[in-house]
Amino acid sequence: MPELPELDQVVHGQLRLAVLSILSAVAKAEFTYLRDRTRSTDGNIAAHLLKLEQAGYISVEKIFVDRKPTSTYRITNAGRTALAKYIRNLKTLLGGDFNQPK
Amino acid sequence: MDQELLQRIDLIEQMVLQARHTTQYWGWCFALWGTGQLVALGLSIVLPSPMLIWAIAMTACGIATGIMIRRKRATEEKESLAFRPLLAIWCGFGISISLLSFLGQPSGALTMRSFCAAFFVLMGFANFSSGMILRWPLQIAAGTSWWMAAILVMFGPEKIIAWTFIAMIFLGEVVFGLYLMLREHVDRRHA
Repeated sequence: MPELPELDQVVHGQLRLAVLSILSAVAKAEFTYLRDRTRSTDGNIAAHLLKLEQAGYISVEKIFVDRKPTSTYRITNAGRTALAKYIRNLKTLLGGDFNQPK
Repeated sequence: MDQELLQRIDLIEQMVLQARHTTQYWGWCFALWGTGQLVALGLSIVLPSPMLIWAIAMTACGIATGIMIRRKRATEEKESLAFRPLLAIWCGFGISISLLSFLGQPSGALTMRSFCAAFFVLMGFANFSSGMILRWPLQIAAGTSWWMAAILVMFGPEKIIAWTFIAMIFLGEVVFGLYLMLREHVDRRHA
């Protein structure tokens, strides 16, 4: 019997998965955009962004726009690979259920 | 467990879909350049030094475009994946047409007919490529119409060249730009 794949726990967190999914579809996004799209709070999303950054899945650039500090996030190659692998593993785990109509 | 995993798949799909939904409006840019070209054309007929008038008008349009893009990029919360390829196409177009305008004509390498044909072909290329990237049939059609205009000036009589140029600038840039600006206005009201 083939072994079932394990899911990357850094990616698996709901908010972190949402952030990685958004960043995979854009060139870059600001902190406020990510917070609003995920309907999160400043403190909550900041903690998850830090975790993704520490895992090397996203990178951050801090700049000043009109004298206001702005953090812009991008997905890294490692992050893209981790997300792709996570989706592959998710599909494997779901097996037959995945293609069933909802 | 399966339910949780299916929810994760749903979440990925929703987030990717939301992030891809980007509407950036560049109508102002078409309207600006079209108006700039028509003003330069008008002034170059009534005033001396037409080359200088064109140089001043096009430089002013270029500076205004640069400032507007900078401002837009600073205020937008995300950058779409299509932004850079589109910027590359239109920057390449801008540099090519500047070379043709400011070196091709004064050097005598280009006549009015060959300049218009080259300009229309490049406009066709830029619009068609942008339309393909954005999957937007209207801009693909606009690109095709620029190519058709290029064929017209290549084979048509001398007297239609200037009128085709004016008509294409007016329709393909000013009217197209104003239409995009109107769409932006309507979209923002419904947002």
